[in-house]
Amino acid sequence: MQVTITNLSLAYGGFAAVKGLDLTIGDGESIVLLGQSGCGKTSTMRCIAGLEEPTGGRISIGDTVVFDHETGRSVPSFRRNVGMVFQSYAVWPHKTVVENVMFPLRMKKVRRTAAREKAMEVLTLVGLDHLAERGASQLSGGQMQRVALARSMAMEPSVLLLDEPLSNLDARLREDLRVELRHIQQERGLTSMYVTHDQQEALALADRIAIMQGGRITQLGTPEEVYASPASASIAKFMGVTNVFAVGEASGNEVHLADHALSLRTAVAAPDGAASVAVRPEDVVVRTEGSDGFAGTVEVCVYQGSSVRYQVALDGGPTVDAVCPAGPGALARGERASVEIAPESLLVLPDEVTDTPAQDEVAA
Amino acid sequence: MTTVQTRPAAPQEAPLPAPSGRRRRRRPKGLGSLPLLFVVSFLILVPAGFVLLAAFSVDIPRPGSINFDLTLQHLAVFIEPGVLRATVNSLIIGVSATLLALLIGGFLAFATARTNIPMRGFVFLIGLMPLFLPSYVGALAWSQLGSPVAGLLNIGMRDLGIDFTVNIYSMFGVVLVMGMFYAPYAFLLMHSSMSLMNPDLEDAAGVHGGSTWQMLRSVTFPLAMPAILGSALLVFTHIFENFPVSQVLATPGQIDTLPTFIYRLMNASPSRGNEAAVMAVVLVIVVLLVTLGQRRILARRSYTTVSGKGLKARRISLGRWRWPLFAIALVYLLLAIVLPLAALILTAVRTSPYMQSFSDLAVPGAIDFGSFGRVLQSDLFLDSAGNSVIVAVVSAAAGTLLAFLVGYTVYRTKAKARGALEGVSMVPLAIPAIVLGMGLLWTWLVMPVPLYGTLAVLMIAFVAVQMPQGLRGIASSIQSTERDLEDNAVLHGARRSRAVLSITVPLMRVGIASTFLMLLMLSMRELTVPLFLYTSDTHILSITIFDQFENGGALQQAAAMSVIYCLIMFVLSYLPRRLGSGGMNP
Repeated sequence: MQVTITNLSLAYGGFAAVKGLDLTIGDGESIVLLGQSGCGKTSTMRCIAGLEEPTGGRISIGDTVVFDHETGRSVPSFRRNVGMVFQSYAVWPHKTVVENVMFPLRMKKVRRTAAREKAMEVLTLVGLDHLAERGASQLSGGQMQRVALARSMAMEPSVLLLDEPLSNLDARLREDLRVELRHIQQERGLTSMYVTHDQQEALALADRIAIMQGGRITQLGTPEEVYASPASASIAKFMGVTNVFAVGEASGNEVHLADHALSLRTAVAAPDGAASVAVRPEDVVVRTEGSDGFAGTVEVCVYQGSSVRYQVALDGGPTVDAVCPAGPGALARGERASVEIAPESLLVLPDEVTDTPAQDEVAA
Repeated sequence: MTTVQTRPAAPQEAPLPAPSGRRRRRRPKGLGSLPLLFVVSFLILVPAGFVLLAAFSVDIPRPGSINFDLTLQHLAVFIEPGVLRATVNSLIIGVSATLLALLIGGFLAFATARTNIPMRGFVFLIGLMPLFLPSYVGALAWSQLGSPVAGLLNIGMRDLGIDFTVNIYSMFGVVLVMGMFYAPYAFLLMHSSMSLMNPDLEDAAGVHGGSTWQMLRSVTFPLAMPAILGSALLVFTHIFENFPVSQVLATPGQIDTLPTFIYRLMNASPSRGNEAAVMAVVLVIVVLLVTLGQRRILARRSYTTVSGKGLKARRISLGRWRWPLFAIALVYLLLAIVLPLAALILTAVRTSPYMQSFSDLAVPGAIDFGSFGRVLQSDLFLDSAGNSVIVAVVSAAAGTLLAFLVGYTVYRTKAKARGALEGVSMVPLAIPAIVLGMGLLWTWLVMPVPLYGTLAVLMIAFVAVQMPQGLRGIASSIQSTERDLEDNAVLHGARRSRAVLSITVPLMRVGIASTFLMLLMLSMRELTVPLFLYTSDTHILSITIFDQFENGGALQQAAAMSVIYCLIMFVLSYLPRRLGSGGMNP
């Protein structure tokens, strides 16, 4: 069901965790709230679940207003029909797997046998039917995570909230479950909101990504949009762009770096007030000395299997990160190199987003 | 006894740099675990052995004549008419007082940990306060309040024209007093369990469709169940073996419990020590079974799940029930602390022990606060207080040292005897104080060293009885001190003993100090164990108060002394809480 959040704010004591946030999640859409810890993303989610009382704004799920500060209306958590997967899983240790999954159904007064049948069905979907009678405290982290997911799906929630559900798992399992989660979400057409600080996870799971900084959404767009054109230097850094340099002066298609005697060519004329230039390590080309580009020395060289990661100190310039395909012609530490940066891969950005984007224009 | 062999410890400061890859990391071997095991066993197992021996031998152990002529004739005590009744009484009191303690403790724990009851800090203190009042002082105070004829409550009600008599010398009275004074144990255990609960587990119930009541029923209470059961069994064993409260309140009402029955057998003339020992064995078996049950339950189901995020246990809004529930907490405060203390103070300042009506107090000269001064200057008080302090300080210091040695050996070394050492140290938990008191009496009567009748025997007894509490205090501190810090000092060239003294001990100073203070307090309040061991030259404060009340003659001094004693206990209990980082505060 569609979820509409209007001008939501939440403050603890004097600290404003969420500041006038607007967001609409379309029916069947998956939104990922991406941001560093403390940016207010979990607080936003807990407001939707009814676990926090917002200090202002309005939230509606489908046609039902579940919270409205104006009228003082606040539907208690257990009547909102919202599913939630907690970071700590919150699987009840004193119940078996199937009892955990049956809980929301029993709360809806579904008869025991019917509830059990339905629970087994959902457990089969997440691949845990063979562990149904196991005590929940005997499960591994990945299994608990699946139980938590099954428990929330069994209630057929209007919206499914996931609070960093994969962050306590090891890297391999995390990638497998990410694919599985996306598959289930799309197949079932679940309206969902996912909170994470991991940009890879966000790119994989989102229909749209909402970047949160300091209690507001600073960029909202499809994963491709956010990846290709971050709205600010801080967002770019967060999205894994390690080469961000302060701009001193810009003239036409040329920007001069503030801290180095170096200028770069851009594809489009730099706008006024440009503060930083950014380039992805993948877009930096490193060749043996004598080719086009800036001259420099390889300082660090890390072999990563399919690729090699370099840090090259440019002569009279900054140190640049580069990720190049592995293969013949790889450079060793101390070797001289030429570094080329294509003008079209350069992003010219403000440091921070000052005004929040108009939500509806970028709606999916 | 025990079948533990210890390999002769390898020389500790081996000059060879051990190159063996098989044992890369050598643990210290232990500070001579065998002598330690011998000392602890001698302190604890020998007295227990004497009780067992007395139960099945022809005669009780006497100086110069331990006799091993075994017999089963003392089992005949079982068919004595009083025995069955005493057992049933003990069970009834144990079960009902435990339920009462759980009800009070559970209510206060839930209210302070999980609701918005007014003045939560104060309600928390209400739950804790009765700990400062030893249960027998509570019982003595209640005997002043609720004796059917002269009880202050009854006088008050007669004054007001209410036709109702409280009789504290009854089953009801014993259960009420025991339940109230053991409630703090249940309170503390349940409070920590309820406030450590991962709030996500409860939030999950809310999100998935459970109302607040359904959440409490299906998540919160089941999760707290191990703590509830565990504290139930702990409280039950304490109440079941409690001697002084029964002696003060049940005996006048002609109600026998197992401990008072044993006491009477011991004090009969001629003394019936063998039969007492038989009854003691029965008591031990019951307590042992319950203790084992408690350990199993607590070991099997530990749900205390602490998540990485900051814990913020959800508080339930009580709405219009806030103040009524607060009033219930106040009633408990009134019954457990305010009325007993008021009764003691009133008894202490009243010049005449006889009183018909509260209006008698208005007569000039009826009240005299001088009694406190007289008591403070009396030889009896000064002697007992001096003895108490000497005994408590020495036994707490020795107990802490012994607990540290045992704790270090058990948790930091690979000594073979460490399992046995821990096991033996915990034995006093399963042996009722009255039984251990008998055993210690016989042990030190028989020993060819003239300790009986000196303060030393009381010190030895306290060290033995408080071994479990001491070891627990030290153990938690040792386990939270990183072992690597000490190993590092050894790597940098310190001898192990030097490393312990200059690294581990300073790091554990708070834990060691609070263990010392806890033992000090336990020694000051212990009554049952010294009951068989004191002589007229070695009175200690708890015994003196008990004696003076029992013998009736010196009610006023006894009450005044109790009030002073409570003050001392309060100061002593306050200190470790100041030291121990105040972690128990809500």
